[in-house]
Amino acid sequence: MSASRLRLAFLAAALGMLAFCVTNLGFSTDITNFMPRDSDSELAALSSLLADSEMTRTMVFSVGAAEPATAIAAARELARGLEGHPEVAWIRSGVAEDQIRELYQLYFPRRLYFLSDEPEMEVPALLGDEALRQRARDLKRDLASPGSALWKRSAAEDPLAAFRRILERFRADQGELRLEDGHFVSQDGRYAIFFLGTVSSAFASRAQAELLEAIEISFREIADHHGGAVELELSGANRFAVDAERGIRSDLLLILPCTVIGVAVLFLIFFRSPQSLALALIPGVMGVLAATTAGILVFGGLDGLTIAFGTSLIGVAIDYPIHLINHQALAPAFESAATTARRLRTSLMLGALTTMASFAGLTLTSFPGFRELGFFAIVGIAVALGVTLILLPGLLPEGRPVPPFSRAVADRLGRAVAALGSRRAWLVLPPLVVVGLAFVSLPHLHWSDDLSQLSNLDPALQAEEIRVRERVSQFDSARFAIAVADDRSAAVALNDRVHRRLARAVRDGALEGTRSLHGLLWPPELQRRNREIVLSDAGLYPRLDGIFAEEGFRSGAFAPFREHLESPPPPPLLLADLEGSGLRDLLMPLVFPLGERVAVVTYLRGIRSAPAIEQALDGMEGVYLFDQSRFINQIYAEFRATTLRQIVIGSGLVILVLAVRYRRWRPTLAAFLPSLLVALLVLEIFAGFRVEANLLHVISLVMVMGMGVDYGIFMVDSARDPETCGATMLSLLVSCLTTVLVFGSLAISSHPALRAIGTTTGLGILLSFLFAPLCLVWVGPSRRLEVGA
Amino acid sequence: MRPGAPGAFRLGLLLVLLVSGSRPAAADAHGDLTLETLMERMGATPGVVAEFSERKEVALLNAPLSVEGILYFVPPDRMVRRTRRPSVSVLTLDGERMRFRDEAGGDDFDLSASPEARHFVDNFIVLFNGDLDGLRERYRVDFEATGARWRLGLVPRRSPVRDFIASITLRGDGAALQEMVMVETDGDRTTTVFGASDVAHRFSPEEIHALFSSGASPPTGSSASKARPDR
Repeated sequence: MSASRLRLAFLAAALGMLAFCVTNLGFSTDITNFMPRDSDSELAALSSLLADSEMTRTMVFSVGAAEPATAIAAARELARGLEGHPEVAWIRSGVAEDQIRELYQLYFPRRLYFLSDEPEMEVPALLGDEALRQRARDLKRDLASPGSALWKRSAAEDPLAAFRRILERFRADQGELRLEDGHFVSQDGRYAIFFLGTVSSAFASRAQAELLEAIEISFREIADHHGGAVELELSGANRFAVDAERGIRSDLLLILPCTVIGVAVLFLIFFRSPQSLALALIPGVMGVLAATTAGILVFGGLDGLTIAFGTSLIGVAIDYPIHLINHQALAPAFESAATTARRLRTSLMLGALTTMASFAGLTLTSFPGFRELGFFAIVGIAVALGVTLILLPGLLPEGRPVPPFSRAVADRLGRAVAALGSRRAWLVLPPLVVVGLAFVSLPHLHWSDDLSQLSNLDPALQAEEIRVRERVSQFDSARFAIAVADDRSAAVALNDRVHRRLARAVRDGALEGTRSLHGLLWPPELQRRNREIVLSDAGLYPRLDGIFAEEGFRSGAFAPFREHLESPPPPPLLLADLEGSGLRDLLMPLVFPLGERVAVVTYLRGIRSAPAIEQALDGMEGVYLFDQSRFINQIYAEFRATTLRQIVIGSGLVILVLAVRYRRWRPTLAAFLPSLLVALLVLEIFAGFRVEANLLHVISLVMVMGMGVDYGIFMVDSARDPETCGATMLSLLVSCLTTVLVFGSLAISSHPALRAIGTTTGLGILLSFLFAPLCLVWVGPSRRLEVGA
Repeated sequence: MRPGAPGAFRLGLLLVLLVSGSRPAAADAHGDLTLETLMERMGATPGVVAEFSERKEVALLNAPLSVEGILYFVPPDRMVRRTRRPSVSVLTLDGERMRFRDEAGGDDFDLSASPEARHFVDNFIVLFNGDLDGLRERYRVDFEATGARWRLGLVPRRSPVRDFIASITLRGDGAALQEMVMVETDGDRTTTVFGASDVAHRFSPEEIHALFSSGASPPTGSSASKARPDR
């Protein structure tokens, strides 16, 4: 293929990929991307599924006003305005009239099924003479009350007030909210509350941003309509996801110009040529475009962190053209770019290979986000290398003069490296110090696995979230018990056992209370036992009739109750009955599918002793006390340890590749040792400055080591021809400064995760440059290395 | 859940008619009171305090139940019904909110949670506002008067009110409402007789606070009980 056709082909590919990325790129800040998938741990899988369950897709709206009626009116208007939005799956604002009717229709015929969840103990007591007498007195008092018209209708059929017990249990289960004019309001009546379920995941930033904007616009109109006398506060995971995305976007808008300007200035200093800068950027840009395109095709989209981190690969990929440009310009005799590329090809390929190897470990993890990141890096680096070796030589101008400043720097660096050779004995010291220091400082390095430290949650949003949650419920939203079973009936039965154990924990003072499906539904077997115990009291009706008559009731007035006892029993109430009724809304926060299984959640209030609750649930298969933050932190601790192990294994692989290439242990170690020493020193610096190291520091070290090995390789390879040492050192210096600029920009991000990447990589690369020649001099046998290639 | 909507409805109805009976009755060409005049007078009072006694004939019971108490009405939409016999209870209607407390339950019970209760309140509001068209839309109205004596018969047209109440009959003589009889669909009957009443009571802020502020209307011992009808 001719040079011009090659250029055209690359240009077409670049434009095609750009168009594809612009039209298809939608990035998310989905926390589940950084949770393990395909894990053996059910709890890990559960955590991942919960993060994208009905729980995280539910928003809470709190509309406040001086007058409750105004708040309710505004809330109703807002809910009506949002009903047709494509992102709104459902809205629940109160108990509808038909729900009360359905409650009656479902439960009244089954009222004897729900007398007690400990029927053997409680039902005989309820049917005792004294209990019946007290019941008669209570009923008489009720008949004198203003509500008598409703109660007396059911009294003849239900003198035991079994249905009333169901209603009271149902009411207690509604949590802190009360109803006013059929609408949820907070306990103080100042806030009208409603719930909204979203169609998309809370972390689908684009869809959620559109919904939040629609909410804002709708409410602004409503507030204007009410003269600004209403306020809206929201709760929902989507708000944090959208805020995080906005934060990353605005960071990128700040970081990218800084990076571009910094790199441009650097190139003007060393190359005095804007053209060189443009050419040097081509491989990196092509790499990022190709990696983004491939990422979209393979994963369907990319995480925000992957894009932010991956874009920084320009800083890695730019090293390859820098080497090419410098080596061509500083070649002792005239050399075409193609010849220089051929001369450097082995070194560049080896460097790229070891970098890709260091990222390969990430693709093997069970964390989708890290898999994306590893994939992105490997594709990006491979393409950048290919562009450097294939396209770039044809674009570089022949016979470009070297700027005097660059030549002077190259000469000085070359002489400095040569001078170091005469002080080899002293140069043993720095590596020894680093290794020695490791024994002293690394035990004091503090690892933080608190995931919250990796995010940058807006304190105002957090405060609003807490306020709204407190208005709705005192139940802990991050800690709950969850029962997972293969089907609905098994889940209901398991949940019932959970309820019993937690009820004991409440009695023992381990927590204040629970909210459970148990308030709505019991297992069929427990329902039947209730009725059987009532029916086993053969003399119940005549005894009841006599006692009630003594209290002033007409004898025979409760004949409908006798008929109910004698009639065939209705089928027990099942979860499917509730799901198929108007009461299904009540199940939403309590029951949901979890993959192929069914999960039932029990919310906990006033946890005083988590260990006591754990103990209460101990030994129940499929039941977990789920502490979201603690669990995720555990995952991250495990992953950090795994990544550290992968660094060790990856290092072994890199050494193996180097050994195959050099076939001698001295050049192999010379190429590898800088990266190892740098990794140790970075961690030592963190320990010394009491920086809390986290997972992203470790991930960044992987990249640092990959690039550090590159530096070692170039140093070792330049030793084959000491004449090129100055050019190599100049290339490494420019590469180092470029990378430091790129990652230094990340360090100014407001996002702690990006900051961690920036500081680790910036510091690590700087140290890699300083250590590369040190190790060459220390390890190399002489000014000339014999290389087996 | 203690549905008290029919009771709230009855309470509203009573007060409306107490108010309407608090002025000299306007008469038609024959000197008889007209329904229009009765409705026009609604809501014109500054406040009402009235004692009442109820006789509830309930099919479940061998003997009728007797209830005694006192009503408070603060225009335009606030009222309290307190009973002292056979047990102490308080039903409060405060705008759109209704609460019921009795000796058995220590907590306020928000009756407005029930959409069905809402229907009863809406029916009452029609009367309260003197909305004759609304009244006719909701009830079949039968009004007759002979001189100063009058009778207003109401038969609910719509569910859920008509599911519970078959008819309401009110009787008065000139300025005074004397009796209300409510017959429920199951045949049970409640007859309310009014005793001493102050139909031009001006409630002080302290009285209103004691009657309506949250938690300030316990079944017994409120300062609002100082407001008594004139005897």
